[in-house]
Amino acid sequence: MITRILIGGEGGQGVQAIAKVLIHAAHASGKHVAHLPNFGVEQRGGVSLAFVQIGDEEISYPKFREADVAVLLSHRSVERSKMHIGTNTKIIFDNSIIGQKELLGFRTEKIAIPASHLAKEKLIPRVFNMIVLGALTEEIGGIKEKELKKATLNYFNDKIKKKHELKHFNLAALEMGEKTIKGLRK
Amino acid sequence: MFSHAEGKIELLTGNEIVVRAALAAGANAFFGYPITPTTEILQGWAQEAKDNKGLIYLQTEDEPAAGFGLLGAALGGKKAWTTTAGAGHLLMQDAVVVAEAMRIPFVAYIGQRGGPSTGTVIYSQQELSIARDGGNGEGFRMVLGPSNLQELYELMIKSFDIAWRYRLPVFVLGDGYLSKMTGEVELKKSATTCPAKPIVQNGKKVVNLRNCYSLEDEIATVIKEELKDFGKIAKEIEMSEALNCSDAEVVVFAWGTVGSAAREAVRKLRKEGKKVGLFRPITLKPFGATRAKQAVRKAHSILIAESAFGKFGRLVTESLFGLEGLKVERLYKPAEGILSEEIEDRLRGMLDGA
Repeated sequence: MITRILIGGEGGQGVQAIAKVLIHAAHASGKHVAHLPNFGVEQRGGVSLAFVQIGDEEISYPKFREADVAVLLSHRSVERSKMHIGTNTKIIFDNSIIGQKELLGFRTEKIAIPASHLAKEKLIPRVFNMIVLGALTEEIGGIKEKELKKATLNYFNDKIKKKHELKHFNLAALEMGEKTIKGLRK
Repeated sequence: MFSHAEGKIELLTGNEIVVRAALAAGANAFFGYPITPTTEILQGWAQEAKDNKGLIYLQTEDEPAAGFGLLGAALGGKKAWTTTAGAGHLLMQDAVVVAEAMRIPFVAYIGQRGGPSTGTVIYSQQELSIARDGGNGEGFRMVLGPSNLQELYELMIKSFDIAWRYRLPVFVLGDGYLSKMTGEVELKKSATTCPAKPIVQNGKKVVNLRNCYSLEDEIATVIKEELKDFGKIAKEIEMSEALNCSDAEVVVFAWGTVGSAAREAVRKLRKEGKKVGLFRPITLKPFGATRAKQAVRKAHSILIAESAFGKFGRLVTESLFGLEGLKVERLYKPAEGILSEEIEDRLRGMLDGA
């Protein structure tokens, strides 16, 4: 089985960082993985999409038609992701950025995570994407917590060296995302 | 410095894999001009060259300079290479025909992007014709088309062996998806490829290489000899994948990353018992026409899928010329990716329609 994940947001939100940490954690957890960033000429200011696949079998083609999970983090990413959202696609979205109304067209399961709001209020704004990642990994399952933490610290290693408190904030963000999803299930 | 562990599976981008493969193949000089989606290759090699004084790195003023710098280094005995894409690939062709004329080894990885002109930085399969024949000669070069990251690694290593063994230009024709995607690859600790040695002067022996002739029959004789030699080499190099073709009623023809999408579609339909197959040339030059014909022995139809408008399709139909009653369908999406689901849908339609 292969889980197909589409992550959409604005350039600069850390969409590709979510994808990169996710595939490294999944790989270390014994899964096959692939990630393709959707890139344009702009360095920032564009819509950023990440195609991620995690599975028990080898993956060779980096794109797919329908996502099993779509993570939507900005208004514009909703439009750009539309063609990859089907009736079986589970949508995880940041409801402190995207309103419920924007997603009315999708008749599918939706999970609201106020990641941006939580990051600003309880941690620091820049770890918003790691809250999303914590929620996403909890939702898809199969990724070892230890590997997720390791992959996160590895990815932000250079930044953490310069600013030690980032270690705490990133790990706390992962945990916050995971707890938020678990809380919604109760 | 990277540490090469034998048989170790690593998660890398295609561009990172290209650099690792060049190092494993013993490359020691790089000349290039940055262009998306291959710029990280220059960055990766520059980083390596910073730590390893045995490696040459030069960012030139443009692509022709990179191409000719490579040729100079190769003449001097360096295992030199480059990378480019799109319009840069076109500009590089001038140096490649010099390599053909003088039989100088030349290796380039191409990350195809959308055209015409600047087009997109993303992806296409539109550079097949210029890779195969983009010069004012007879196209004495080899073109390899990897379909996934592991193959990219292996074909990159092989390209250095072919280029130096036969003294020919070799293109590894990748694309933006392959360059930018991250996935698993098994790296080798080292690879044995044909060693490089000085070409124009080795000790006291001086060799004069020509690319200029006074008489038409003089150059015609040289071309004829080259053609004969090229034909022999082509037989040794030719590679293709024929998956489930022996009893296939419908065969997909695809190359590069589209080949991976087609492989997924064929495997899925085979699980349902549908008689479909895939023919995927790994060498786009030479193109294995005999094997292509064998692949369609039992087929009533073929589907040609490519991210260009018929550049590959023309090669396929030319190679199958003379086969009567074979229906040809086309899935041409210039500068746009082709999903395995799209190929699957088309194949289903063709099976039902038969």
